[in-house]
Amino acid sequence: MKTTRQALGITIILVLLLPWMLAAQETGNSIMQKVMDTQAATSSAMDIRLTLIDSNGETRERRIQTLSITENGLTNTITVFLSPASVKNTRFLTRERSDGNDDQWIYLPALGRVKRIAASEGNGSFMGSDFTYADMASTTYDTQEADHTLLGDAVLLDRQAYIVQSVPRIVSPYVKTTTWVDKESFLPLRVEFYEQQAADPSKVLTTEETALVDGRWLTRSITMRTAANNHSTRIEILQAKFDIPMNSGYFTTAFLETGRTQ
Amino acid sequence: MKGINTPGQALDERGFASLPPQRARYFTLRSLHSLGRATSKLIPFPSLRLEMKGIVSILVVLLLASLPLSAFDGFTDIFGPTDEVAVTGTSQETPFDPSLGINGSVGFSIEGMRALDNTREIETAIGGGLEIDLAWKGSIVDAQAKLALKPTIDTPLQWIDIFKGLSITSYFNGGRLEAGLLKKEWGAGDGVHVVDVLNAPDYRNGIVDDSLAMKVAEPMVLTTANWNNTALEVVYKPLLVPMLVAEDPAHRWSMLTEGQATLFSTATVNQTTSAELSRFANGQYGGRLVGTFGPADLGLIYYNGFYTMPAYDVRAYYSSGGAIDIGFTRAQLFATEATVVTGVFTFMFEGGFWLSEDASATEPETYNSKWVYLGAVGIRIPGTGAYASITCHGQYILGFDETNPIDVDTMQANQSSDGKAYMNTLTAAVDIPLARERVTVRLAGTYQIETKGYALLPSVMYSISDDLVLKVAGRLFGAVGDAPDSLFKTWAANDSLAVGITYLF
Repeated sequence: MKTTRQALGITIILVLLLPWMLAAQETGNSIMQKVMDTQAATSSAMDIRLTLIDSNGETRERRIQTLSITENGLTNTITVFLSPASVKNTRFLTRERSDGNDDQWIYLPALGRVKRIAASEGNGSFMGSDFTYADMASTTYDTQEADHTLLGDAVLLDRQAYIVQSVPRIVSPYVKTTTWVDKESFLPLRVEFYEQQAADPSKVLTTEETALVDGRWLTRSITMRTAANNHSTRIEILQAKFDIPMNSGYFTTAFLETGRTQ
Repeated sequence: MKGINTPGQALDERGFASLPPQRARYFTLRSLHSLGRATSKLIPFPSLRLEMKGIVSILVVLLLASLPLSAFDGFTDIFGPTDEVAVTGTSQETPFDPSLGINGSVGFSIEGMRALDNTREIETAIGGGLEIDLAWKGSIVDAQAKLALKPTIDTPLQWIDIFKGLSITSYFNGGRLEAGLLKKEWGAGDGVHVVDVLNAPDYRNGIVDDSLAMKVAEPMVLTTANWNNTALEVVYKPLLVPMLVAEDPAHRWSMLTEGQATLFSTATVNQTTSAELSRFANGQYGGRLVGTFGPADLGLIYYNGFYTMPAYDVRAYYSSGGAIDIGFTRAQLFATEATVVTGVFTFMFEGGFWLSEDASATEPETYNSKWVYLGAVGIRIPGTGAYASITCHGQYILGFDETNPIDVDTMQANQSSDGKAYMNTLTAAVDIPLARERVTVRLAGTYQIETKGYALLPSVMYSISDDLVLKVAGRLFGAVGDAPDSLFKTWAANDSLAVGITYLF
């Protein structure tokens, strides 16, 4: 009987400690892998509004839609600019090649032609925003791209979060990033981007709204602020769909030119 | 400036013909160096306008008949009409919903230039107006109309200036069929080409920083088939549309030298009529096959058409004082194009052989065969968002006879390449976005090596808001040092500065 009570007691203790033990087992790598897994999809469609906010509070809006599909580990993406009028109907097609490089074409409606171009420079500004092209692809690194170190826990915006420092192994404009990861959703709540050896981050990404839709966590609104000029850019996901059937005809130069999958 | 002695036209008391009616079209004898195309002399061109008018009317009827249609407005078959995060894991494709798309701009500009009479006064030209792009999209049919209403003080509007494009496109499985007034671009280069043959150039306003504006929309039927990463275009053009230049020999953008103007004012010129230009035998056709192979896009081109510059038979004029006959030289183009991307660099190539109907180069009134070539490299400048490119292009005329001054090739070379069989031109351009794309600085320049002629087109655009753009642009022409005659040298007095504001919608 005594043995039984001892076993029960140990079991209760283990059960009580299990979350802590599991949490303690999390590493920087495992956390960031879950971040990537949370956002992974075989296909995605997003309707996005970018709001550029200057230091005086003046705003400019851009609207884009993007479709992505991943087949055999290679991702194709098409992006359409819907506004402002100066770039409306400009379309980008990016195809990932098996050698890791991207093929990229652009359709310029003013010229009515499709042109092959060099892949966008990773650290160039995306549409004049505070996001670089690389930021638009992802603001976090997978485990192959960076060394991730779990720095500790914190409460951010009433959410329990891990703090992970990432030092990229790939070419990046940032020497390190620090990411607050929501323990429940594994979405980034805040990312600080450091350039050179500066003590303060050059840019800060803040998640403003998340949503749980059909069991899937989504980031709905984020803002990137550049410290040097206090300029910021808000990205709002107006619509998002994941793992939906998608016509492969979207990811062709013919679609770029005509806007039709034919 | 003397007028043109058009057949049947009355002469004035001095024995000269009066200037032709306003808005008649002419082709001039001056060659164009930088763009690899030559032109010839003055030909009134009103009848082709009537031809265009008829075609336009037919297309308008067809366009209206194809309603209802719509324009591309995002992935409407995937996204719903309301802005809300949709459920995941399911496809909520919405049914096709035809609609009408309208885009365009309205603007005003003023361009100042020195007066041509050396009075140091400034002449101003008022520009701007309204441009509208109408687009309808149906389930299998698109229709597009690109209209421009840009009246100027001294010239009335013409059909050819109003309809920048008017077409209907029908889609079928794996391809499409387009018909109408179209502007198309063939070739890999950055705005400069040697194999871009489907539209005649328009130099009535000199050279501007808008390559599409310098093309004449031409009637054509074009079908495109797509499979895998390959596209095949086949085109037919029923009319011979020659290039357009400034209509008035005294116009500042005229390509005529004074000597040429004198020559053609004293000679009887047998014009090429609209009926001749639109004869069935003048139909042109071609094809372009383009495919993607790893980091390269490669293309093959065949085109059976004409050199767009008129050719002048001046033999009778010089031997017996007879008339100058105007003709056009039929030629076939066998060409290739390639774009290769590596890192931040984009390499572009075009090369081709024009096989003239005068393959033996024995007829002075027709242009000879020639090689054309282009090499260019573009680079995205790291850390700046800027893009720069440099292009070298040129031609080499076969069977060139510099000892025969009445051969059209020699006449062209004397005007465009200092009398040489070869002609090479450098073109450079840089586009720099600043202040989060509120400001764009552009500089384009071209230098014709044989004649030392140059053109510079700098501009700065400032976005007051996303739909309101202020633009300041300049045009500078001239030649370096003691240079031979050239187009840019002729235009040296046409340096200008323009300020304009445009509202986009």
